[in-house]
Amino acid sequence: MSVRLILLLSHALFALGVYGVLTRRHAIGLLLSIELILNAAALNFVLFSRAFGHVEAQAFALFIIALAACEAVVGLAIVIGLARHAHTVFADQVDLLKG
Amino acid sequence: MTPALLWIPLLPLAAFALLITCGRRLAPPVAGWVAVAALAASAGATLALAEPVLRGQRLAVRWAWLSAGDPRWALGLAVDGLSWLMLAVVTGVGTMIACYSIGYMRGDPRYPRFFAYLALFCASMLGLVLADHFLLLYACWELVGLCSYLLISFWFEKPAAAAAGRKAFITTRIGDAGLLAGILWLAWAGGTLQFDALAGLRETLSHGLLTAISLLIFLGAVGKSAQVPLHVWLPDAMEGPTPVSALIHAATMVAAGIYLVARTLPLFTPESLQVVLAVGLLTHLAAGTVALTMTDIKRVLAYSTISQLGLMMTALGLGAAALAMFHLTTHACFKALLFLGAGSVIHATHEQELGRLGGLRRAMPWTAAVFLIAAVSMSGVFPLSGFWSKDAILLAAQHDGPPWLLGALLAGAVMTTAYVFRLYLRCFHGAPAPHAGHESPLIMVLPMAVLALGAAAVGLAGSPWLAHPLLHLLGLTQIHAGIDVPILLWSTLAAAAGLWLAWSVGVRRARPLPAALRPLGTRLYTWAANKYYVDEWYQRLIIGPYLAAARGLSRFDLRVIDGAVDGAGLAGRALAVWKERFDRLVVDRLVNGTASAVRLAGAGLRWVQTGIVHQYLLVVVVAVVVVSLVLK
Amino acid sequence: MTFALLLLAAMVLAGAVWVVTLRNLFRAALSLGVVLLGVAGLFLLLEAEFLAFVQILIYVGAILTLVVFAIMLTARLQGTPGTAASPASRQRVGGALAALALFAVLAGATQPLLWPEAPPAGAVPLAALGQQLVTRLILPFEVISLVFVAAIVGAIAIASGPPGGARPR
Repeated sequence: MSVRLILLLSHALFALGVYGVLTRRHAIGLLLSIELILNAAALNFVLFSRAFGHVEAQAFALFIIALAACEAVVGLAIVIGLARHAHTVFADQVDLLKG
Repeated sequence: MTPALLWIPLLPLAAFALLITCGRRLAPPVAGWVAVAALAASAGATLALAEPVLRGQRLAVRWAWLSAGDPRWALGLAVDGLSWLMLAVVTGVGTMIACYSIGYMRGDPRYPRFFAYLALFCASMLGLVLADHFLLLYACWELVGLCSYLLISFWFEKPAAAAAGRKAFITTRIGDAGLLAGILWLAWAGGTLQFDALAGLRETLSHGLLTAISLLIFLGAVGKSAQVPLHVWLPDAMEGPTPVSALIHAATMVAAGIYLVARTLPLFTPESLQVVLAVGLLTHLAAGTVALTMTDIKRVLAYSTISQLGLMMTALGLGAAALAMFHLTTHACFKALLFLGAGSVIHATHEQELGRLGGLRRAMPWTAAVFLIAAVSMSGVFPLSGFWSKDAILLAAQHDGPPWLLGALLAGAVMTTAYVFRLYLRCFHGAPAPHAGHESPLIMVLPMAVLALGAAAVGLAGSPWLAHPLLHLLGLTQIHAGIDVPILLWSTLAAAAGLWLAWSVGVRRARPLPAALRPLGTRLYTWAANKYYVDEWYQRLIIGPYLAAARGLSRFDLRVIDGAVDGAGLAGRALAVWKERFDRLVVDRLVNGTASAVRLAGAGLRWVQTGIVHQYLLVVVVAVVVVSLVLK
Repeated sequence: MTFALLLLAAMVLAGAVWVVTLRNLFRAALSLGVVLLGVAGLFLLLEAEFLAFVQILIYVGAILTLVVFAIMLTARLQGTPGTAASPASRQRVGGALAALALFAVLAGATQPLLWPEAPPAGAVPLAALGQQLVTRLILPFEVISLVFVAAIVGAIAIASGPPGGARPR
């Protein structure tokens, strides 16, 4: 079992997620990309748990999955709220922060 | 066994928490039953502890509280014979009184609140008794004081009740200050506050130091147990609901002082015991004479309590802690019963002035019967409870005290019988008063019946017939075996004399004194009827000067300090005129200049803020990469 | 073993690339399903069976379903069919460069390190995990449940909108 190989895989997953976050215009697309990032982190935790025999690492992978569920729920609620009130689901069309 | 120990104070505390938070949502009788159930469960837990305690075992739980370096500051609960007896008194009498209150307090708008306080009162008293350490005892001691304040001024709409609550709190605080000082001194000098280590301190501490500390602790007991000269709060405390008076007088508040002295008796030197004896005897006799002259039922009982507490203090002054506790136990039964009987009368007639009462025997047969039992028991008539405990004290006085002590105590016994029978005869016998009265409901009569049983029979536990189990429980080893016949005769004679006095003077208004002595008798009577003017002396010597000083200070405040403040104000105004000019010409321009600079800079930076999240995120990622590269 | 690993890695990578590049959002969501299943397989390979099942149960079973629902719903709110392609981004090149740089930095940081080979019998027993969750990690565990409640309440509050407020056009 190659720790390095799986590490490389999780890095790639993370980088792809970041790319998605940077380029996806649809809000739900952003959420999907964030899920990729979270999965990369969870994968790392499980990998280290196996490599070093840590119980806590697995527990935190579990917490990540739980938090991802929360994040998805809230994120989707925001998207629906956005669609209702701002009449758009494209993140770059919402520019309340514009100076 | 230890869980039972924890439950004893925690159950009433839980009842308090429940009642204070959601008591309003409970129907009135339910709130009362919650308190009764909690107290009864505590009583059950106490009974569960009886077996090991009677075998002489000392049960304790202790947990580290401030474990930083010094293991002495552990908090703990412990039960030995002394505290077990107190537990039994508090939970037993407390349960009965709570039960009685269900009937007595019916229809009161703050019904659940009353039972919440009642439960807290008992819980803090139980904590006080269980504490194996001065700190916990002191905390509970103050809680007891707080509860007495809350309950005495329970009907705080009445100004007199509010004032009485305040008086009780402030007067006992004087004693509490002494107790606190004693505790701190003990901690500083002796290095331990654990009760089981007190005996060891006798060897390590100097005699004078022990005397000082024990007298300070005794000061706390003087305040709590209403001894002269801090007794003034107790008669006023009659403004509270009658069950509260019963609780304060029998089980909780005043018993705390006696318990404290009994618990810390190892610290008392012969000199401080002399003080205890003197204070106790003075209280016993003075309060007895006042009780003879009072015309309010509850005030007679209040002074009789003070007098009986004086008797207990006298026993403590003789070094006989076990006898004092024995008398406290029997006294708790008959005094609670007397108060509940008085409450029953007040409940039925709404009258507590002796002159307007009479002949209630027919209307209230049960109340009259239990009142009679309590009165006989209190008079020390063979073989009811009061006899055993009082005779034990008389015996100790004869053996260990100065020769005149027995005579003084016998005089006190005469007065005891006289005032309690004067009360009984004028309430329940004679011509019927305009207030017809009616028997109280079962929920009030039943607890009285149980207490009557106690008033009649509890003393047997300390009698030679049953081989003194109670006194063994309290650790007394040298016990006079059998009944001492001369003492028995003397005390019976005293009771008879008291009864005759009550009948001839108290009821038939005979004039026993020869004509030559009559002016002196009248003066003595006036003194006693005015409670020896103690309140008036306090007013003149302490409160008056205090208020005068306060008024003087207030005048000083008005003239001198206000003048200074006004002068400062004028100076400030002059300064302000100059400052305003400086503000306008210098500070304002600086501020405006800053704002203009920020506005200019903002206009330049504005184009960076596109409001598009993606661009922000890109910046973040690039920044992360750059930072990682730099830190590497 | 290595074969399974390579297969799963390929599955995860391909899925991930689809998730971020497919113009059709619905297909992107399904590709996320592929990624999640692949990661679950990796968990199995790493002998974290329980986590693998949780991953499938919660991610694939719950979250993904939710996402698909949301896509459908927002499409209706938008008045476009759910399978319509989403417009291209304006910073694709910049994003790609930044992501590549990030990958390089991460790989550069972790690859030169000395990694222990996973011991043959070093798998964490499920009982130990459970024990940890209810003893030492009880606080984070409870906090997570709190977060769940907050998330549900918040989601309802946000998505329901003001009473009688803006209706979909």
